[in-house]
Amino acid sequence: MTNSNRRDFLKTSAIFGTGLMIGNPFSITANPLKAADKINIAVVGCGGRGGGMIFSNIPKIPSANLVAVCDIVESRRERAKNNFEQQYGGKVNAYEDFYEMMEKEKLDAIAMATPDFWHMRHAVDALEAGIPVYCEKAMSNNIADARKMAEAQKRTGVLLQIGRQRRSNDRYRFTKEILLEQEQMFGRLTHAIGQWNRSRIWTQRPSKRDNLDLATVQKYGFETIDQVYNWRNYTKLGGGVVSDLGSHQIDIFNWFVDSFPKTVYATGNNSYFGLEQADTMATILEYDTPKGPAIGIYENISNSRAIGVYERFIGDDGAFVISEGKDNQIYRESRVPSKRWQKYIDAGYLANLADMAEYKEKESGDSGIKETAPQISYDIKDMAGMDKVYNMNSHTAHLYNFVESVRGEETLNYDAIESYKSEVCIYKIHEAINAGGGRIEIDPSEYEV
Amino acid sequence: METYRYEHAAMATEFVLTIKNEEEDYANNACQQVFDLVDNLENRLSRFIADSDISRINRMKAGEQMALDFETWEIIRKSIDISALSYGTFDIGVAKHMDVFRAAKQGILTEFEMTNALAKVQEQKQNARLFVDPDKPMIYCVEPGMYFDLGAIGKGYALDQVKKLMLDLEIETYSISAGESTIHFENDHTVLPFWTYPISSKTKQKTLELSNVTVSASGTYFQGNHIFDPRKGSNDFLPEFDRVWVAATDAGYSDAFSTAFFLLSIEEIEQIVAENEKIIWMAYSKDGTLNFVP
Repeated sequence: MTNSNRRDFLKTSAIFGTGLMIGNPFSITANPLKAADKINIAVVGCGGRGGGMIFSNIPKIPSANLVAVCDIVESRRERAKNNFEQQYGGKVNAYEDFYEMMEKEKLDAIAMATPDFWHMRHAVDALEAGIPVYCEKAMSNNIADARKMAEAQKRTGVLLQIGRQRRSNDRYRFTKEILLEQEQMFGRLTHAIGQWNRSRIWTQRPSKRDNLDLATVQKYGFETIDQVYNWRNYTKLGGGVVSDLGSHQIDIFNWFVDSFPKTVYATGNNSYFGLEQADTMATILEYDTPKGPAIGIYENISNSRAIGVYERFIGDDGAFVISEGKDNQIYRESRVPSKRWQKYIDAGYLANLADMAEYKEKESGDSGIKETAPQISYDIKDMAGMDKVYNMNSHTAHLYNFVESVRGEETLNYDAIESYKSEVCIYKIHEAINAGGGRIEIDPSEYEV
Repeated sequence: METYRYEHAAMATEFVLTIKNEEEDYANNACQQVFDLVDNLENRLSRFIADSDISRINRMKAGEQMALDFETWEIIRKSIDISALSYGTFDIGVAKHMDVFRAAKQGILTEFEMTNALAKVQEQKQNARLFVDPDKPMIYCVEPGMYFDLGAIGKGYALDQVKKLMLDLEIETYSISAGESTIHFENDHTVLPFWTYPISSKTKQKTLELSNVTVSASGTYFQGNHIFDPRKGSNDFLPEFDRVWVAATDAGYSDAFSTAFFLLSIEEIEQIVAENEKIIWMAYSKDGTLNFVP
């Protein structure tokens, strides 16, 4: 903040009502996050996701020091550099070429948000050079390259975290670790259902300030300017709708039911937008889970966003909807007595009555309610019992987990070997779609690296 | 001159973007970026999204601190400014009050329980202590009890961010409406001299010619008597006006003050408008008449 901005701000903002004030209270200035040794990090790819890393995630991670950005679009990398320096201070160098950046900068870590087809080469070269990598999903646009990345992690022992951020989302971690594993609250999960509904395929055009020429583009594996902005629509550059969207959610199926599919049935097509990649797909996944058989049902919709993005799990003692959006609710199966779930409320895990229980007149016999009371569902309340609650949005938390792992303070929540297993079933789904629909069996050994 | 119009549901309302004097392809691309930005802001600022900054602030316990997105920090600071300027009639710390009203409507709380709950919630809010860092995007909770709801400023703030994006895209003639309650008008005078905007009372109607300004409206007609007085923590305030409009250079200001002015007298409003350079004018309808300040 500039001095003049700060003066104006303090002048007009001394107090707000009674309880919200400007200031940094003396008693809690110590930062609970260990920030003694900052790591120097570079972000490769300054588009939508890279911009999120630069402006929304890294500034919240005290132990991360952004030193460089890299993008083949000059205006995009210069804008990222200049805006970051203006908002957060420090010195950021901007590069067009990844390898020039590797050579010139003393990097402790690299975060990659580039098109899928670049992931393998950049990630493997960085790991071979001893530099840990945070790589946005999907690992690659083909399973062979994804496997090379997992093998490189195994061979070098250098950290490679893949960006499926729900793995570091506090509520997803709480659901997995406490509600599903520790409390076995939902009994045996029999169904996992998920959808990603969006209204259109992202097609971007260069802005008037972008100054990208064809010769530069072709130097980096693109054939046209359009491929730079809309690489997701090309099979040789991206992994398609199942990789982009479905892999986030199918990975959660696998994580929550504690297994990987033994068969996938899938069908899909590109009939709606007519681009190279499928825009519409549906798949059925069959699992043999430790508790018995389970079925996953998953859909990507690209012509309507009305129903949103969510995962839904059905167990014999309860069900839940979970998402990174508005849809989050927990339901007790009717035959499970409410007293049995009271312990979860008492433990602070769940809230019911829209978290209004403290305002109910518990002693009065007549509730006074003259209308039909609503169906009781539950919400996650306090994430009690967790070793660690990040209290960050999942994108920041996932990158924070990576940075702290590089510093030796944590272990990765989602390394390349774990991620590869979900990529296997994603590419089996692709295989089925590309074959015009069908059922494919997956041998358990195919998941191993 | 071609005009391109786009609609998008977000922030519990309908956004409408109108772009003039651009290639269709470029306008389509801008539309995607604009609505993506609005969705992104909603994900960070809505208290109904469990992972948003605001939801996580609302879950903070005593002694906790939290790093914020730059935009979250900015909108909270702006809200503090507006609260001070509006004598506390604009207040983002009322989410729990809203929850109590909703629970009563749903039949979870009786009217008796609602009244007592509002008194408790107001007391908790008055005892709360939250600090926003003046130098970096951090918030500190010394004592919880105040819970944020950005419903009265979020849409305006989103339009301010859209303005920055459109500047970056070098699009100079457009309007964007957030549920028609807040509309920003931007125009290159050589392309379009002005945008028109009708306002009306029960018996009068007037069409305004507007350039490079945001107008917000608030009223009791569409949403019923929804004016809640945060100073008292109750909803028994009977507004003096039927409808209020505020024009400002800052969309967050126009959005927030269009609600805050309902709780102030004409004399207080005149003083605020005179002293604040971001507010260009306000208008109100009362007893069938249309009135402007200044």
